[in-house]
Amino acid sequence: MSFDTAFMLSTLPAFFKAVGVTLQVGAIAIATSLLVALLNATILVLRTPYLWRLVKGYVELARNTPLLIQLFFVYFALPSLGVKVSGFAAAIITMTFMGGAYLTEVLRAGVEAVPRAQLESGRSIGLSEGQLLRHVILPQAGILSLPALFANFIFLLKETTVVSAVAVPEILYTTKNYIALYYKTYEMLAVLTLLCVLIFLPLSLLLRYLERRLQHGQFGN
Amino acid sequence: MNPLIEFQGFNKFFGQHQVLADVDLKVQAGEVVVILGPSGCGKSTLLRCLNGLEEAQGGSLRLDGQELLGPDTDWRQVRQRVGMVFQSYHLFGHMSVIDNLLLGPLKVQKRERREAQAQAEALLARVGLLDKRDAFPRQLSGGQQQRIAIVRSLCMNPQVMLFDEVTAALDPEMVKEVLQVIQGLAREGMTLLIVTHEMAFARAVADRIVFMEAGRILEQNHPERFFTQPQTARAQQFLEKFSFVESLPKTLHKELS
Amino acid sequence: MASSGIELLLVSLPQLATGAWQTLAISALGILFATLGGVLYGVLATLGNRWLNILLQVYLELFRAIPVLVWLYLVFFGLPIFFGLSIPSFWCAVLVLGLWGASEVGEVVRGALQSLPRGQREAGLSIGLGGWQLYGYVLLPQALKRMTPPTINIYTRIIKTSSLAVLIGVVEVIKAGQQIIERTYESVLIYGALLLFFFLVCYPLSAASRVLERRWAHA
Repeated sequence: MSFDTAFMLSTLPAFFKAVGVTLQVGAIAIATSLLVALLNATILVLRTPYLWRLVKGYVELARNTPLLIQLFFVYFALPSLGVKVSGFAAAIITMTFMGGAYLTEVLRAGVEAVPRAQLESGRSIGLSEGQLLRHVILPQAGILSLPALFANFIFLLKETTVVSAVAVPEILYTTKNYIALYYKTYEMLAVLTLLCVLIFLPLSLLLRYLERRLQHGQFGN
Repeated sequence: MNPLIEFQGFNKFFGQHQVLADVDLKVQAGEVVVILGPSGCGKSTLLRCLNGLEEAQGGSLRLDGQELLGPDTDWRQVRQRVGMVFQSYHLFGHMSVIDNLLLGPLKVQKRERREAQAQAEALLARVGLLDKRDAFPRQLSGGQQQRIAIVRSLCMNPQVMLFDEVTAALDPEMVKEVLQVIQGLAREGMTLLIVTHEMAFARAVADRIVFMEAGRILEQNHPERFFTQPQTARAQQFLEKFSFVESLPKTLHKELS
Repeated sequence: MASSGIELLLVSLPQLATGAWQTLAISALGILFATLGGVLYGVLATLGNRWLNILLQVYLELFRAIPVLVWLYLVFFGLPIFFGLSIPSFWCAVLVLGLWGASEVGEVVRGALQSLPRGQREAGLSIGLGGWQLYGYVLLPQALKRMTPPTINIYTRIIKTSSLAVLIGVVEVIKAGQQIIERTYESVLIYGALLLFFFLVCYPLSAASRVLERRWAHA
């Protein structure tokens, strides 16, 4: 089995760009998901009457349906309702929809993990609910959530491969493209595998390190 | 008479740290040996080497003449002959008491259910817990669980029983009920190796006291002699930690008596 | 408009049902292999053998570093090239889901077994239980409650991920839906129905997992 390394090297510029797209989609999705999740978590914590149930329903819907179908719905079905979006936009919208739900759960768990004693001492020094939230709950919930947040960020980055299905030129799409064009299946899969390992393995190890560090920094437990 | 258990030049290391050094110990069948010593002196480790929970690095360990330190030792067989009871009893929480007792006899020794059950129930009755036959461990007190843990090991018909600080985790009121069971076993002539901090019990039940420190045996003696006239300074210092009378200066003691 | 939508759905039901059956079959087989593989992984990982642990870690990191969809393509395109094997895409999907699922379930099983008090293992050994007996009678039964809620969540993820099989050509429920859309152009209705299908399968599992977690929460 021989490797056409010359060919592989010639595709590197294209793959470099593809990695850029992967990171771009991932980064935007992570940022928007986080914003959505922060909003949702606030609603859940404050138990805003009607909105709270809406958020719960959204989270259940987004978490119990596959990303691919959500993606197809936005990209293929919405146009017939007059809403036409590019593949890139559909990717961002869908990943935000799904990512927001996952991150909402993480933040909610983080908030619930804040020891009750913290809330009680905050109230007893006269903090209002809003101040309690801003200065006591959210910062501590944030720290407690960090490992799970980071894990979900990695997960979102990995899910960018799914959006190759709507022709977003990230690494998987680029690989498939080159295979279809040049039939160098073996070489292209090798490059893809290598890229995945180079990108995701360090992140996974970083996550383990983070989990270990924060284990020791846990207050109370 | 050949000893039932024999440690010779026994050595064990945890990494660089030597936990047992040149231990020579013979135990005759039917003897009750109590091992005393400060924390970390290796007494628990010595017990755990006897049933293979810890591996040794040097020396010899014989059970009934059979060398145990070798690559071919079938520890599963050895463990049926050497029963062990732990500080935290470790009954199997998902099984009832009777199932805890029958697991070994039925699944390991492949005995007949009727015979194994009869033995288990007889032993349960002897420790006064037959009515707890179908209860689950979480419904029982520590003392009850420990007595059942002893019965669990006895159901395997061992030649030797090892007790590793079995009352250390119990509330004081429950200590005696467990020690009485052990005393009963001693009276029946079973070979026992006991690690404990209960000095009065050690004095009453032991045929021989073995005193260890830093992985070595410093002194072995008949219990009465050990407790009244310890031969080494370390043993004396150790005993003084447990008594209130002996710590008075000798002259004052004479005046009082 | 609504009534013709319902009519359309009813007419398409047989075709969708065939596709749904494929989806559920892939998921069920994936779940089966993931469970068996995961329990094996968890047991092997707690035996204390250093080389075994390294091997299992490499396996785990491979499936964590490479996204599942990439694995699908690697197996689908790569198997014919590397091993001269040409297996139907259905089984490619089952294989990938099984192996990936096993790594996830395996970590859950490993964590559950390691969370048991060490004395349980020692007490079991002390009455002469051998390897499989120790795990089968003592350790796994007690780890079961801790393993179940997270494992059910993994099952949900396997079911959702099975949807990716359409991208390697399996004629499962999404493909069936797309074929219907090609004829009728009712994309909103069909994709909506697909979302509903997965929701109806996954939501009960998620809810069950939460209920069990609460009921079996240990101190």
